[in-house]
Amino acid sequence: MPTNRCIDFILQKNITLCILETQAFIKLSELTQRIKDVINLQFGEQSFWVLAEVSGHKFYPNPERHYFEFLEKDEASKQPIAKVRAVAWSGGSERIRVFEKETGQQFGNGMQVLTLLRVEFNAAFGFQLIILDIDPTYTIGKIEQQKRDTLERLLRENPDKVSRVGDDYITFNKRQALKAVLQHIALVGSPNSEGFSDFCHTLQTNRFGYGFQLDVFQSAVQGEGADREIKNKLIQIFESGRKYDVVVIIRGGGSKSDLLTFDAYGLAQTVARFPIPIVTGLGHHNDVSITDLMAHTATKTPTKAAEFIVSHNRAFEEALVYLQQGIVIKSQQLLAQHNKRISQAREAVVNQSRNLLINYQRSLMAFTTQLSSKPSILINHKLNDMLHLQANLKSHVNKLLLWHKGTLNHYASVVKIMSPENILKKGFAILSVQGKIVTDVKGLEKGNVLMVLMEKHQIETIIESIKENNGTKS
Amino acid sequence: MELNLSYEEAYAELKNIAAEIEEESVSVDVLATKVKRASELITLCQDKLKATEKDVMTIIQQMESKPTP
Repeated sequence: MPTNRCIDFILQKNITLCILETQAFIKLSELTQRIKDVINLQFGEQSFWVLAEVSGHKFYPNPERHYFEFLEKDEASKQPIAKVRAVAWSGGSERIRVFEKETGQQFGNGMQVLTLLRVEFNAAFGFQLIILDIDPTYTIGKIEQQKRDTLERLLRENPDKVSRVGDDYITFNKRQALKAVLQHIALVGSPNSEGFSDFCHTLQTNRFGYGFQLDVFQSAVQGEGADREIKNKLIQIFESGRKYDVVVIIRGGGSKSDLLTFDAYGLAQTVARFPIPIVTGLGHHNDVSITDLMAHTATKTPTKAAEFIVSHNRAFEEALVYLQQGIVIKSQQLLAQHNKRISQAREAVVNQSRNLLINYQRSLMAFTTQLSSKPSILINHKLNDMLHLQANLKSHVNKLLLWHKGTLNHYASVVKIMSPENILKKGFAILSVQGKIVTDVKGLEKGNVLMVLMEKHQIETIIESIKENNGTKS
Repeated sequence: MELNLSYEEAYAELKNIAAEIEEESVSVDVLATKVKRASELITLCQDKLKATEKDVMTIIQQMESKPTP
């Protein structure tokens, strides 16, 4: 039967054959050559963009070679439905290096990649796919999609701890206020890595001489299960009950990025919900992991993380120094101001009291001048008054004397006129009874002796009768 | 004369006296007393200021002599 099949095959392909007596056979190399011819005929230099998963990956650095298998799994059963050996020679390896740089992912097992490849049959190595190029965009897109899904899930499943404002994620961890000074640090990382020593070195040799207490929680930070290990370290830190000021997660140095660890849902969730502020320094420049988004502060490298802590503490000290300077300057200003005020008050008191004294003196002088001049004036006035008065008095006395003289003369003449001699001369007589002058009939009666006194004579009569004088005047 | 006044009290009184003298509402009878009082208040204020200044300077020096890199 094998012979027949062989002949059939040979006949079919119409290729020279070599039939020996016993059994017709060909050399393996001839067979492989023919397979190669068929493949070349069918595929030639043709290349294909193929989407497949990497498995059984091996890398040889010198010269760079990638050996692996391409897999396609049934979506439902996850069983392989296609599997082909693949190799990247120097050209392909170079493209893979670019791919790793652009995606931030290490080319390796489990990765879905879109590759440009050529089919090759090598007589010695058999059938294999030669990697010509690899598309980072697809992988980036895929990772981005995964990241978006994880972020959505974080928002959906932790509504009280994770929220989004614009492009920023606000997490419970971010809401934790950083202490003014960060000194007690829980460090999560791999002690043998460069990043780890960078971090410790930067912290310990800080130029301000700040001291730190560093507790190391050793953990793998890349590769399978690293995310769970870091998460467990965080839980361990929390359960230690120690009052850490800050938790630092670092990774970096040498090895290529494998950010998938830090995009894992469980780790990101733990970071978001962690009650102590977390600072990350994951050693990647182009990409931000979900852990970075959830953490209190994300820095690019372990060194930067250490610098962040040092400068945070420095800011506190600077604020202190600033306050100190402010106090110094302000108190000096205040003192100067008060000194000035007191001097001004002193000058005011001195000058004003001097002025006041001068004013008092002036008014006193004015008063004195007044006092010295006023009396003489006053005396002069009085003297004048007196002179006037004197003059007046003189004339008044004369007048008065004249007047009195006149009055006296008048009275003298009146008296003269009224004297009994004059009256008797004028024919009047004076009556008297028993030596008393009579002006009334009262007490007189008939028979009384009445003396009538005239100017030159005296008559004695007896009253005959007394009658009423009816108004007749003599 | 009691002089255990605070700086602010002393200063307020001093200002009052200065204002009184300036307004010439101080009679000669009390002018000397007022000026004497003002002089005492000035001395008090200056002493307090000097003491405070000295204290402040000492504190500042202490503050600045502490290690700040």
